[in-house]
Amino acid sequence: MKKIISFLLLFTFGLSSCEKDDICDADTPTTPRLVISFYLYKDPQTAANVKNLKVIGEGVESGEGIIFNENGTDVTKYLTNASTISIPLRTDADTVTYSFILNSGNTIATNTDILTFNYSRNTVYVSRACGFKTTFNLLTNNPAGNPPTTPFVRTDSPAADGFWMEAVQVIESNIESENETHIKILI
Amino acid sequence: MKHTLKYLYSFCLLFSMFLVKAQDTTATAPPEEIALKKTKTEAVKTAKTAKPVIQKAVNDSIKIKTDRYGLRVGVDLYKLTRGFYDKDYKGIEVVADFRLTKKYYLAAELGFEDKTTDDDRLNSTATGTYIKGGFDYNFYQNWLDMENVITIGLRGGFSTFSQQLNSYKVYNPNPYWGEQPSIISERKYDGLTAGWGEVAVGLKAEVFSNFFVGFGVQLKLLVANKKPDDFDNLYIPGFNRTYDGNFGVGFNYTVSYFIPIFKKKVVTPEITKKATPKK
Repeated sequence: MKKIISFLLLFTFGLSSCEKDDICDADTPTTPRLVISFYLYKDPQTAANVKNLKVIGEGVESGEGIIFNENGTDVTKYLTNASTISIPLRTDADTVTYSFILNSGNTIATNTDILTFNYSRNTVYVSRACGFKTTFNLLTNNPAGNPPTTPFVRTDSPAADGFWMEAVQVIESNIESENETHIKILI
Repeated sequence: MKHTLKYLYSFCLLFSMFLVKAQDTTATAPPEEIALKKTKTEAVKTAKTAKPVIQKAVNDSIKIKTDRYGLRVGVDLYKLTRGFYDKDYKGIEVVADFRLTKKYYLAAELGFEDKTTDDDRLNSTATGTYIKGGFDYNFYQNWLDMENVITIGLRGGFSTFSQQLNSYKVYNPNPYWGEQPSIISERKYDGLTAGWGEVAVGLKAEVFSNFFVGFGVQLKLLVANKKPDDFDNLYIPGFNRTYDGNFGVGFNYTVSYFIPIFKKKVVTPEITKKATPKK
């Protein structure tokens, strides 16, 4: 009898001790980033690599760019030479502005274009461990609307160095996963 | 406090009346039927002081045992007392079982819970009532007139409850724009239901006459779960915390009172053989 009692007690304490075991798995799809792919302007079907692209959010306190290369040095970790990049949208505002600096670090060839994305947000439940995630909807182009809406605004930098982005297209306005391209930029 | 005491006293009085009644019926049992083998009485003497049922031994007689049948009602002290030290919890559970046959008991639990679950990213409160019904099988062989039970049983449970999401955090694996603070929410989800089955293992020991202390653990399997559209049932009253799978666990610590209703005589089989030619 006593053995059973002590066993049951041990069993119940054992159960109560393993309650806080939830950690949000990194593979769980949570708040997605905006996926941008670069293509050649002359041949829009061919993916193009950017050269030393640095992306900095407007109003970021530290002034640091998005880290594309975790293992890089203080300079190179902000640079990418890929044909696809993912940038986070703000989960606390309906608009975000980024400076896209091509040939960053090269004082002569550097060229900055600024893109502002406008979107609406949804909060979606994920799980106990992960909590909620935010999904985004890029606004549809409706310049006659009230207020007028555009999914993005492309502006040149104050240096007036011209656009290195020849054209910007919305491929998928529902930003729910990072497995697809949302914005296509022709360079 | 004064009122509580008053009720406590009246309860005790009520119970003492049952006690008296129980004693009466015991006395009316015909003495010639209640007898024991000499050797058995020796054992009893060492194990437990004899009750009125066990009479002086007559050699070569039939051992007859009376099993009491009745309703046992109690309360889960674990849930009741948890409210005192855990500000996030209020709950009560009333337990009852009724002895159907020698080994089978009809069992039911009825409860109310109000529990605030605080996870890293979510804070939610579940409030609701539940009912569980099923049976217990007693596999403990008692000595003589002892009435302790060690049971294994099955239950079906059903809960109707509501949930309120108090606050939540948005998970952002790329906190370039900084970590967003927790968002206060007042979202309430009503009309939620859940159903489950459970395997319950427990024991109840008689500590005083008719008073039982017991505890048990339950393993639960969620069968039906009506979730809100944009949230999950993180805690279901009666089922407790939900996990990724359908499994759940429960624990209770009960104090219960046995109300005897009728008795059945039990003749131990091996002695019956000997006894039959005598009659």
